[in-house]
Amino acid sequence: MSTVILLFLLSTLLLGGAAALAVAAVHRPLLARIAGWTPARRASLLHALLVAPLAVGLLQTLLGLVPGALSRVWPTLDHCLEHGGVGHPHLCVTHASALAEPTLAVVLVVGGLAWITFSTAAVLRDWLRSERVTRALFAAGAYDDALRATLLPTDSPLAATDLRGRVLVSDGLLRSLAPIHRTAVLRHEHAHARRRDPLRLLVTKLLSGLQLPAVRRRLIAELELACEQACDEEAAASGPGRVAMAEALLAVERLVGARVAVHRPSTAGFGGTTVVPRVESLLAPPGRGAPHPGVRGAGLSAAAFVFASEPLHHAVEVIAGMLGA
Amino acid sequence: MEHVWSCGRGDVSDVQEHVGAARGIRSNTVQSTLRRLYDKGLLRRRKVSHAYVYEPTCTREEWQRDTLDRVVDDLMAGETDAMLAAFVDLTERAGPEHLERLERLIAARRKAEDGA
Repeated sequence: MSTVILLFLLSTLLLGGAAALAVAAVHRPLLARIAGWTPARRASLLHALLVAPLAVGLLQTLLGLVPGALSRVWPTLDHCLEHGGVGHPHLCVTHASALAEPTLAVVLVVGGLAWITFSTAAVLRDWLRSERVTRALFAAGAYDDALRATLLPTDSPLAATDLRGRVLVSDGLLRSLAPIHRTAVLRHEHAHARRRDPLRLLVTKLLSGLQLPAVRRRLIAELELACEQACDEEAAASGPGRVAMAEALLAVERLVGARVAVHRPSTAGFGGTTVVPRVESLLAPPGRGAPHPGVRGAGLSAAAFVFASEPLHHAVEVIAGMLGA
Repeated sequence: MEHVWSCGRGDVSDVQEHVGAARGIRSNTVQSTLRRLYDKGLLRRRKVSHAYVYEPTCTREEWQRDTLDRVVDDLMAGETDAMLAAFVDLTERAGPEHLERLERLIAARRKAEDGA
């Protein structure tokens, strides 16, 4: 394996792994802190937090390569010659040096890539399996212009949005709901379609492979809840109101529960539902917006991120040197 | 099934002539298929002379509806996967005590709003 590629992957995994540990350390207090935010802002932060390890690992590694790349044009930027010391590996496109003994580094890189591949493959497998079912459902229904949804001829109470932003609703569900609750359900699903929630969630799951598994599961569950609450709020604000939205949630939950109790009684699982926090959230006062960092805050954060690249880059080279000694 | 639905009934030679011949399917295969559909309850049959005549036990629309009901019920039971953002969780339910508590909360809120 080329030295630069090996060191690049090692750097990405080491820095990404460190970021994952940092997320694991702060995620509980952070979740408590953002509990009062609006669901839409919570969802945005959770998307970013989930992909942070991979993003930080990649970006910091790339930033670390910039001086070496630019030194070909501006030799004064060349920082590698300052290191000195024989056997100190350089993660640099100009002065890449081989590890004396790359075995351990290779094992770490292969292990890290296997970890990411395993978690990503599970998501891809679920996606491919689900495509067949989704295709069949939409093929069985007929698009209704007035509802802006595909109407499914089934008594089973279903309302859902797919990865492509298409809304599916069963005629059995619509028949069973009062008009205001029908509106609430459809507006909720159209909000999912507008926000592209299913697709964004899929992409986030694919890019969150570096997270520790338990942290990843927790953050994904929080993200899914935040997305549902964001759509509840959007639908409620568009007309039906928060109480009618809460009533619709309860009505649909009862319909689904009754259906499962009759047709699949042994499979009903209790406890992991989002209906309870969603209804409680709708009946509580609306959340406050997230504090905005402002241009100066965003600029300072970006500057800190960029200036951290040199010491992080050097730390990775030291670790690589220890691994390859 | 499409042929039997369209014509209302059919025997092996009839189905073989209209469906099997065009696809190069032999009459033995048509006969086995009709028998399997009968075993599954989609067809009923009566003997006319030496041959069975098959009739559908349900309309195409009824069959589609039943099949769809099963697919969606499987989805709700977690027996199939679909990456859908559903209005309520497909596989997890709120227990009766939670539902009653939420109903009381909603009723109290409605009362407060109506009073205001």
